[in-house]
Amino acid sequence: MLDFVHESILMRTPDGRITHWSQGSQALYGWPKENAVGALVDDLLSSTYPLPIAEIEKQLNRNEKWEGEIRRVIARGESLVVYTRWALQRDAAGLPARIVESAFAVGSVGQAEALRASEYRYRNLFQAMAASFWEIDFTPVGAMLRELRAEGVTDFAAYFRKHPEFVREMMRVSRIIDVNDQTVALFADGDRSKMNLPLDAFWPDESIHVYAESVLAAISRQPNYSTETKLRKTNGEIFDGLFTACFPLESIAKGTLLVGVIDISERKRAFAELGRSEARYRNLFNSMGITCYQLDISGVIRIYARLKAEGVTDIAEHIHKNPGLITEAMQATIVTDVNEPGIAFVGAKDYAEVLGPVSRFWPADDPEGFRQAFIAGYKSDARFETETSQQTLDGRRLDVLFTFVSPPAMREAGLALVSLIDISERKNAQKALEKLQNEFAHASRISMLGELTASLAHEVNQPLAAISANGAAGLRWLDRPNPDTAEVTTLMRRMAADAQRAAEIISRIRLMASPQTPEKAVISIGSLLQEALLFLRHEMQARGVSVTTELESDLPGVLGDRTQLQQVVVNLAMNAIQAITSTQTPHRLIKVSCTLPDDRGIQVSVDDSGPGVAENQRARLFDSFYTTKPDGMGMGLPICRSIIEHHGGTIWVEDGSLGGARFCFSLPPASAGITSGNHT
Amino acid sequence: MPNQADLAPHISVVDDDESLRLALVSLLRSLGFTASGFGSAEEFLDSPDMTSSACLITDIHMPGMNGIELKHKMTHLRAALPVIMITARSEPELREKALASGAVCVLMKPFDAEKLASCIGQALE
Repeated sequence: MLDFVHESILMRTPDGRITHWSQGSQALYGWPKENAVGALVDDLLSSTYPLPIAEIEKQLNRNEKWEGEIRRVIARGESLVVYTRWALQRDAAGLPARIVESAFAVGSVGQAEALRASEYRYRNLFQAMAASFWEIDFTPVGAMLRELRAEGVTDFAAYFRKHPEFVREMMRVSRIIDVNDQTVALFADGDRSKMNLPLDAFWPDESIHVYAESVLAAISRQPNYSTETKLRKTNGEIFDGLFTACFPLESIAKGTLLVGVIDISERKRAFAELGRSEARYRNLFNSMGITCYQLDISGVIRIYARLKAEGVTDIAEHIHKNPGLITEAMQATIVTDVNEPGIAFVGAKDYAEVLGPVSRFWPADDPEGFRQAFIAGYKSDARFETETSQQTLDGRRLDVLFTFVSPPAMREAGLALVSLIDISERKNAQKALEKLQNEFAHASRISMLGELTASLAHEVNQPLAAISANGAAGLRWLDRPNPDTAEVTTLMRRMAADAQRAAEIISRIRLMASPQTPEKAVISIGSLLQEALLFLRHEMQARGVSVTTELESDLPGVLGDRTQLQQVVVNLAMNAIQAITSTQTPHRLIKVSCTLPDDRGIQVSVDDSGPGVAENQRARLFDSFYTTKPDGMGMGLPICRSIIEHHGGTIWVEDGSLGGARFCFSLPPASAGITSGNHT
Repeated sequence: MPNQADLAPHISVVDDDESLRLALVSLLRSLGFTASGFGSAEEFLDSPDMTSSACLITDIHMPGMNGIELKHKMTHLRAALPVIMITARSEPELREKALASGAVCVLMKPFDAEKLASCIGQALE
């Protein structure tokens, strides 16, 4: 029977000689029975006692038993701490006959100390943990439950549901043994005296079921029970707590249980807020009328890292040299989410079809928008917006306003958002407006040609008259008995030159008269001014107006439509001529100059010696149908303005240096990032 | 300008358009006259041809002094040589003004050689 238990049971004589050695003893100490029986216990196991051995023997003699920890050395030579219980048995004469000693290992020396430390830590923990701990005596609850069972109740869960007052009573009889400082802080604002309340004070009605369930868990021998529940503070405030009850068997036997409470109201609030914010975001994402994508850009960020490691600073130049980089980046930019409107927008059959690389949405012949976005991303710009075109999965082409957003927090997570707004209609309207403006510009040119008819006729008639005279002279020289062929050759040469001259004049007129749609090219503003003045040469001469030009050297070209820009210069110069001839001014002068001020690009100015423009008329001068001329339509300057603004410039009037007005316009130089091929 | 035939009358041409001026000089020579050309009224007034010419053909519209002003100047200088005016402009009042200043003929450019010849004939009468 003694061998049946795993504990070590040994018997020894009062002087310490071993008479019985159980299997448990062999297992515990390592020595076989043969070595042990007959040996002195202290020789075999070299024991170290917690008290002087005489004192232990005194206690044993008095109480017939002793128990305590002893350190012993076992067969393997290791130290072991054992917990022993000694019982003294006497003979018929009442003298000590033998001692029965049971022992089990508490652990190695280190373990025993660790155990004590752990007990200490537990106490510490009980006090120091950020959680509220309660030690509760529920022996009275046990009594109530036994009574209930005695009354024949078997389904406690149903009974608790039906009788909340019974649960309340269980709470009231549960006695609080101890609480830690955190509990006092959490439930009683740090005032321990306020904790002197029955347990049910801390349970609001809405949480009665939680208490009932924890009792049921204890009855059904679960090791613990944990749930989120509302609890009440002593000041009446109700909060969200994570409630945990532990039912270790030892505690159950003792009739106590340990309860932990963690305040999760902050976390609850944060979660609720997060949930709301996520819901708001989803709502926004889905209900916005515009297309939204979420992109996984982690692949692109890796490309950026690689380029930065390679020391690339001029990213635009690097792309220019490695065009494959754009394709690689498109492949690495993955749509991971799209909202409802987006599915239809890109012509997809369903949500899943949209997901994947963005390369499918960028037209192969126009990746410019992506290129710019890629460059902006390399510079860590959080936002990038451009007007670009996208192709849909069902083969349409759309003009869109493309907005890319990736603030640092999103970027760190490898995320970006893209919104697309269809601007095709606006683009169409813009095209229609441009067409209308071109038509107006054309009408204005025709009207100017009308005003210049006399001058232009003069200009054409001049070479025609020369041709006619040369022809007549040539015929006469040939009609002589000895034809003067040398003279005739000279005349013929002049005729050819005059015909060429006439053709050039006609071509200038035709250019002005043509309704052609504007074509932008890089043009020299100097040659444009010369040509415009050539056009007006006879008109100025006829009206006795002399013109001077001042051109700064090394002017950059401008990007624009030659006919329209020339039209502006001709219009301004004609206005100058008309201003001068409207008054009897002795000086009839026009100065056309082209300068390069630092801040305004290329500036063209037309100064006249006319009467000037009154301050209060200047602002309205460029409005449609406003005119200061008796037979004017008031369309010339508005059209000039629309042409200049369309070229990215501005037009204005100021006081001139010749006593009259100075009309100026400025245009951005063509070198400012635009080339003739790139315009859309 | 020395001429091969001293008997042929000398005609001066004033026009700022060089091409037409040279054409006219050649045409006049082919018609049997001697001729010389001037690019402006001022140039002509400063030359000896102002007194030696039998006839003057001048453009009306020129930078500086125009044809009508030149005729007024010559009248003022008591130079009696007949003047034929040519112009590329077609305004009727211009023609009136030219004739009023004393021009023998006013011709619209481009003009017919026969018409010019008949004008010269009229001028030299």
